[in-house]
Amino acid sequence: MPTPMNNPAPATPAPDGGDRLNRRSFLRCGALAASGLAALAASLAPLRDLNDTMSVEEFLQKHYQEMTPEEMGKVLARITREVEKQYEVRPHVKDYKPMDGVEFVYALNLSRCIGCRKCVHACVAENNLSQDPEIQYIRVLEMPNGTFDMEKGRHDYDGGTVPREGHYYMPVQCHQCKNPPCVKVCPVKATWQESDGITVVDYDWCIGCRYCEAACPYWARRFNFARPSVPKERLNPNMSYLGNRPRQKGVVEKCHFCIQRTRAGRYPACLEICPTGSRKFGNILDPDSAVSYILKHKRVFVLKEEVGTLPRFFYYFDV
Amino acid sequence: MNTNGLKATVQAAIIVAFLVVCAGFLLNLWGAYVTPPPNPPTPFAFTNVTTVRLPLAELIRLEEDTSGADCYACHEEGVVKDLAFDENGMVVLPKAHRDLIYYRMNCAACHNPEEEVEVEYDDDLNVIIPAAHTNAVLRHGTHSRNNNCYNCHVPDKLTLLRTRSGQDYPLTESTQVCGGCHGTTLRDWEAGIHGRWNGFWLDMAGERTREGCAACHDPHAPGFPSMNPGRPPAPYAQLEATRPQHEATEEDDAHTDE
Repeated sequence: MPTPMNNPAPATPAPDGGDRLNRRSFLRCGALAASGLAALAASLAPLRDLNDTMSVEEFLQKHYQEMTPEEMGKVLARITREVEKQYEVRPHVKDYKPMDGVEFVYALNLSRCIGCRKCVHACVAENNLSQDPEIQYIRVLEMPNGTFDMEKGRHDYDGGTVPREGHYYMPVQCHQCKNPPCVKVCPVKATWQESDGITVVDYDWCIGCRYCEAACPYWARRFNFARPSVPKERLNPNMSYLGNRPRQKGVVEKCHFCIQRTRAGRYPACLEICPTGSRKFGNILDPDSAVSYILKHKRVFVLKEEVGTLPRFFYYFDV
Repeated sequence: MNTNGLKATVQAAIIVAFLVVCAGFLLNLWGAYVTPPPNPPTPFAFTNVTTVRLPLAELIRLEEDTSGADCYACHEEGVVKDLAFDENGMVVLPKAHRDLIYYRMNCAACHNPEEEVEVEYDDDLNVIIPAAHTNAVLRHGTHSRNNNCYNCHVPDKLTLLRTRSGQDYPLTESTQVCGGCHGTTLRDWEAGIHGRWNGFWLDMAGERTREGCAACHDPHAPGFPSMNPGRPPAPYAQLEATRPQHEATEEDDAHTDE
């Protein structure tokens, strides 16, 4: 019978006695291991500078839609604690829920807007937006009369008073689409549409892939490239989980129709500051609301209708 | 040169190049990283929701000083004062009417509390009043046809306003007088879509408030005043900060003169 193939000749040690630990091989292996460990430690060294790592609580936190009220209460307590530690201000963090029979719609009168950018800065103050690096939800485009070509618009106009002759002004912010492309592309379901039409972001669930930012045809989403900086004395302590609580580095944020105000029955900050009354906000399911009247009686259009996003943000004219 | 020699030379050259680059980095040959100036915080004028003007109706309601609006401190009741017109057919406004505007403006709607305002003087050392602060002009409409006091004021009783259809209203109800001509705008206002609402969109949460025409429009020059816009988004604001200052002031002057 042939010798069993699976039992080859035993792996004999090299005749020079390599099985024994001699001085040379010990030093060689030791040096290799030591340098390997040193290289590993060096490559992990940047981790020592990580000061804004998430807590264990935050890491183990569930998705917003799966949280029970008790768990939510714990999360809100954690956020309160963290904000108090960082900003030395005791915030009122709440989780505002959508109301039944309410669907928010925004209407903006292009005949009235004078491009003063008050809405932009009121939004910054209300929503605790970062100042360095700067994040602004609203972009006011200065457009030459007679065109809707966005490429002809400028958002960096400055110097002199507005409105300028021969221009109209078109503020653009999140349109809270009924068919939102940003929600479709999110790989982790960190952004979704609520029943009152507001598309929200769970900053604790966002992984910062920025797919939504690329998908938005209105350039409405903003990414926190660095840790947002808000001056302590400017922090708005009235906060909401899905709204204006301080964001982390590496998450996406966007306009949420001032969720902490509108779900409490108030108007968004950009509307309240507008000196010309160009901005209108209300419940489209209420036939007596101002926005219902506008959609019935005014010449209304939506931006980039052809992309099929069905925005809840309407522009209209006074004629 | 043989192959080995060539190889050694190339290797040496690469090593030298790396060392030079390293030395460059260490010595900051390309200059240190310049931190851009920090973005200034949001000005308080952008969080103040007051309207541009304080209308007379509001002043009367708040029981504030309305002495400047007392017509009969100077005029005699029942006596119709003839209007003076210049060669262009425009009403010549007496200088006394110029002062009415000061307490009617809401400073905080446009200015910051900490803002420093440069006061300019003319040759006689009188303060030059910026165009936005003065109502010594009648700019009601693009034609000058409406620049006549008695189009709205009752000639023999100046505290009353009269619509074209002959109804009289006190000064506090000027909105109805405006609506006598601006009917479509009054319709929009009554429907709640002209002018800004403050307060609550939800009725059960609280009250909604809004103002009459004169809270935003000066009845004598109702075109909405032009404003200085808030600063543009960074980095444009930072670029603006590095731009030579004289350019900006020249532009400002040009606009104040308008």
